[in-house]
Amino acid sequence: MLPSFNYYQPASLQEALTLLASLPRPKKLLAGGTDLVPALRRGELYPANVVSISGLSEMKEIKMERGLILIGALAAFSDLVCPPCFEGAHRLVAEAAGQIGGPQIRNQGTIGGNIVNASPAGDMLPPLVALGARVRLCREAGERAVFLSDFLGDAGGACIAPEEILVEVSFPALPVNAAGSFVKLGRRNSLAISRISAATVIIYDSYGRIEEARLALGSVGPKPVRVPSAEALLKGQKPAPDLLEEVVASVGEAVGVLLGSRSSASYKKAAVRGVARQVLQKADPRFMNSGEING
Amino acid sequence: MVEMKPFKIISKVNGSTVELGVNPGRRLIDILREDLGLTGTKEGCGEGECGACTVLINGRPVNACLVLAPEMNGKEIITIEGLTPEDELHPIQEAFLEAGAVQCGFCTPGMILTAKALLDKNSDPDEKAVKTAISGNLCRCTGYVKIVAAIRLAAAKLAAREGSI
Amino acid sequence: MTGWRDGGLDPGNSVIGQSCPRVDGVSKVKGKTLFAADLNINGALYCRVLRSQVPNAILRSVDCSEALKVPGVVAVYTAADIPGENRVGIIVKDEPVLVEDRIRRAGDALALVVGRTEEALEEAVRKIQIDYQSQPGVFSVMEAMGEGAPAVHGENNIQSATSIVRGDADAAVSGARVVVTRRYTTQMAEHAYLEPEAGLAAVEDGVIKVWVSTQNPHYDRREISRMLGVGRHRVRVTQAPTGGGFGGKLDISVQCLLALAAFKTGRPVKMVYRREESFVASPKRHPYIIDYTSACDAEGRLLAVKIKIIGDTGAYASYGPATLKRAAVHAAGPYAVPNALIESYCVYTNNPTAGAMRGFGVPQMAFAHEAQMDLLAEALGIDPFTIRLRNCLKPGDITVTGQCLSHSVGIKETIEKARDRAMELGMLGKPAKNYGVGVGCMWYGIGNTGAPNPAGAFLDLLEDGTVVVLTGCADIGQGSDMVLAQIAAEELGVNIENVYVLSGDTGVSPDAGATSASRQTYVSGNAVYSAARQVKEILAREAREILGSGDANLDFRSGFVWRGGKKTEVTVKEIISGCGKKGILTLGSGCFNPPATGLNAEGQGMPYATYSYATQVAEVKVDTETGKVAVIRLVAAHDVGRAINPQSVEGQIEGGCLMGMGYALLEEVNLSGGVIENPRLAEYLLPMSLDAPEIHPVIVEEPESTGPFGAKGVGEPALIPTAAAIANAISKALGIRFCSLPVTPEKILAALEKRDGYLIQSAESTQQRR
Repeated sequence: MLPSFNYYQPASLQEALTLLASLPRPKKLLAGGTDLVPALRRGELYPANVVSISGLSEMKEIKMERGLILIGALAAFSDLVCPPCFEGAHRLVAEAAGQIGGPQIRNQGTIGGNIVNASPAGDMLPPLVALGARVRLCREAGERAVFLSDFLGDAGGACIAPEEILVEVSFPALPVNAAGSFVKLGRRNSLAISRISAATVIIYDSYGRIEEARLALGSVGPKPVRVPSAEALLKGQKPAPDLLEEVVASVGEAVGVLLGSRSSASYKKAAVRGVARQVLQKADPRFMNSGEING
Repeated sequence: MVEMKPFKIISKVNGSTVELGVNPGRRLIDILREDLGLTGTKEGCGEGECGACTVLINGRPVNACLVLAPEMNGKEIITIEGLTPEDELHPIQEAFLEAGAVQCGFCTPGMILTAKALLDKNSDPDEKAVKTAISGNLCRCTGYVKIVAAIRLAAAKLAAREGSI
Repeated sequence: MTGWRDGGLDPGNSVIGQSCPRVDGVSKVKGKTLFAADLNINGALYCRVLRSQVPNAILRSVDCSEALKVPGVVAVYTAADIPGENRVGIIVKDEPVLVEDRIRRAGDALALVVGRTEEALEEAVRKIQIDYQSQPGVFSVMEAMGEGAPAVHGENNIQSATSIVRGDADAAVSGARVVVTRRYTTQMAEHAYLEPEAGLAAVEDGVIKVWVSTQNPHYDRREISRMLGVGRHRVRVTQAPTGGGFGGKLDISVQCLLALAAFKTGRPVKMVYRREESFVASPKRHPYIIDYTSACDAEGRLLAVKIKIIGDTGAYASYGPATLKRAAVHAAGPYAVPNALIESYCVYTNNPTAGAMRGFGVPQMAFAHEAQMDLLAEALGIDPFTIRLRNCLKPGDITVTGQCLSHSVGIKETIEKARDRAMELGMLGKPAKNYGVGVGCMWYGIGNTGAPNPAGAFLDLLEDGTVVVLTGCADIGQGSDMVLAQIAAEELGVNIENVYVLSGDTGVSPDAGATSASRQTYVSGNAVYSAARQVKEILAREAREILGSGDANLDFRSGFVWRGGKKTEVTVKEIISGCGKKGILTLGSGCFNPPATGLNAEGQGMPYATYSYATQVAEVKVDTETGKVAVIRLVAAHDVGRAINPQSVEGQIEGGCLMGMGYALLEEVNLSGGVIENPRLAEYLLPMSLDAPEIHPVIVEEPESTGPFGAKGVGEPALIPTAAAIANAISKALGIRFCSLPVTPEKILAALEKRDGYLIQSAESTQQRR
């Protein structure tokens, strides 16, 4: 048995927004429930009102429009694993979604929930940050769109009002000559919290050189961090094993500075090198030594 | 303390329509076990970490301990009791017995339902696919070896049955 | 279906060695098996315990007045309400059911609330006022053994000590070619059976009935009867189908609390632990500190071992004394060692209680003795298999306790078979970088250590060929019901389907002791075997009369009497009805106590009647950047004496291997001032399917002449050498020795960082003399 609360199941987004605007605090929005329900059980939350939006199918759509990929906030992680729009360079979205929790969690949990919970280890965040995603938020009175990297607070958490609903996340589709990947390091291979995660997006010029590289790391701070020093090293270069060594070293240094004297620092600043190596090699095999490709 | 209003739900559980007024502070697992007497759904951790309470909601495996009771509304739910009629064994159940995949039996109902969802969409899963599908179901007894073997055996049994029709 | 109509077993058609299906299988796959939490009686009240958050305190008072005002609360009980003795414990009665004056660990039960709804209980537990005064606690064994440490019980924190002295270890060490000394440490671990503790109790006709998830219903009955101060005839404990135990359901959990509530209220009561409570309240695997010196000659032959073991048993003894005694007996490993000086200490602290957990204190020792074997081999430049083959026990060898092993010593064969299988699989001789193959060997004495541990069984053969077996043996998922049915079916020549095993009910079945120490196939198996022999004797007497053959060798198969291997015309049915006419029932009772002796002051004696042996080989790949270890394959060769049910033996081996892998790499109960920091499955991580390696079981059968059909045991051996083999494999992969479990990515990266300048600590040394 969980703490007592009133429960509402609005039939449309509009109805949900109206309800949210009128209900007294404390109130909570229920999407998938995979984080909310255990928190209620552990007595960490005592909402008076819970508004469930899980049934709003209008918020589950995944589509491509005018060069944008739009993902409804209620799309379950397992819905993100297969669609063709997450093949190729965009596969980092599918790779991240496919490694969240276990299959049951992926069937229930939503991308919107993952974003709003804004856990430092939230697996969808690094890929979305690397893709330059924006989130669209609605309230009864109107809506706003904001870059995900700004939506996530520097000290953790998400900048969302109790009356707001995150309805959609979107990012510009990558050009044809681009690559992307995601790597997660957990203590075990499923139902594991990321100890470190990394997402990369690489855009090439017509000569196969890196025109732009983005590398976002998870679980090394309150929110995903980009690594400008590593990105700068990659820019204008052709992917090669020697270049990778430089990049990996710079990622290690950057994370060492970020984590400072935290107890996990000595492990993470070393391990992040391996994660950075894997994510770049996975995105572009030219980062591998010839032996590794066959092995 | 908030006075909770019961929330009316209509859903299909193991093929039968269920209409109930549920207290929103209860979970699907509580409704199944306490109100509907479907105790084949087990509670191992209460936080989605073990998969013992796996049921199928609209065909997908979900942890019943993470679903608020009112979220059942409008859903089709299958529990282990609904997999086959009372006196029959499903090929997956037969395979679990033949392969020796059952020890203490506490993970078994959830494991079998997860297997059912897998085999419904992939009729010939390889070992990796089986291991991935059951990667949210904890088993402390078997080392998963015979469970993986059982699910692949079940696939073969289902294929043979398909072939004979 | 009857045994006779279907013909029963034909000669040569043995049921032993057949993978018969489990008797409980169909209801388990159908989800119909009613575990304790699934049981209910209309009108049952619920119970919840208030537990201490602090590890050491004087409890001044427990004020329940506000809690009693909560609507729906029926009663709140404290220590003062216990009518009999408020102390339980399998070996030492040192644990209160409800604390009366002294809190010794976080998790101690302070009050029991009984009420109509879970919500009422939750509120009532919050409203109980506890007045206590915190005391300084001891949280490490070193501290606890030190001068002037606060005593957890009595005056001294050393709960018990064992020493084994054989030959002159010091002299042998000083004359040795290679001497290796290391300190090994191991972690506290949790059983994490999938089913949390649960039970139901009711008073019917003056009898307190308890249905509970347990490994030892007869022990539960003893404790309930003492606690309530009533005769054992007034307590009936029925084991509910039990969702795993691994040693963690040997101690009292909900049993006494439920019985107290039912006794006091007169109403049915029910109690189910949440996972967090299961973590906090249940016993754990002992953390050890092991100082180990091994000495060998130039050929790698062991000359001596000197070993000191300290185990943290936490606030209460539980199985601690037996665990540490067993650790000492097994400390030298499955090797012939002429000189040994071994001491082990079981030490109280204010940490969570440690008790029995699969392996009973031996996995820790295997981690140490197998690392030592590798270190000796490395010093001499010989192969890990070779050094083990050179030292392993053989028939006729004497153990460190002075026991001569005459037969069923399968260690050599397990080493050879494990090596051969590893070879076939291409695991050996791979030159790849950061890959490693490690070997782990073990031996394990079946049954309790140098203490009587009898089991009884009743057997009733009915006219239609049905066999009813009554046994106290608790089937906790490992499949003992099936094994016992196979033994009865074989001996009486009936079909397995006709054997009904009613187990673990103190109301009807005789005491079979605990389902622990890998003993039930051997001990209860023998009890059932002997009960069946008795029935067979009754049949034979009658048959000889009918056949007029006084001395013939008779057997009963397929419903007929067989004489000298030939079928006669006389049916077993006729024999039974012949018996009936004379007023003779075809009933048998059997009991078996393993032939063993206690240990004397120098640790000499015959602590076990027989031992199981095993060798496992692990193949790992280490990611040297992230420290992550992937276990690729495990080969596990086990001498089980005789595999009564091979599929079930494999199941034990596979499950044990994966649990052992968790112990090697992942699992650790983290404590902060005696409080568990990770009491949840989200934080205490167990291996899941995607972590599981390929597991290749190899069954070795060196028959044990005192075992039923030659069988010994496998439940615990399955796990014992796994962590040792994996740790050795990691050490081979990296060229770095890891002496602390679990081998986490953090430890690996830290060790890699200082690999070049790897400092040899004072406790570690390898000396070679020319």
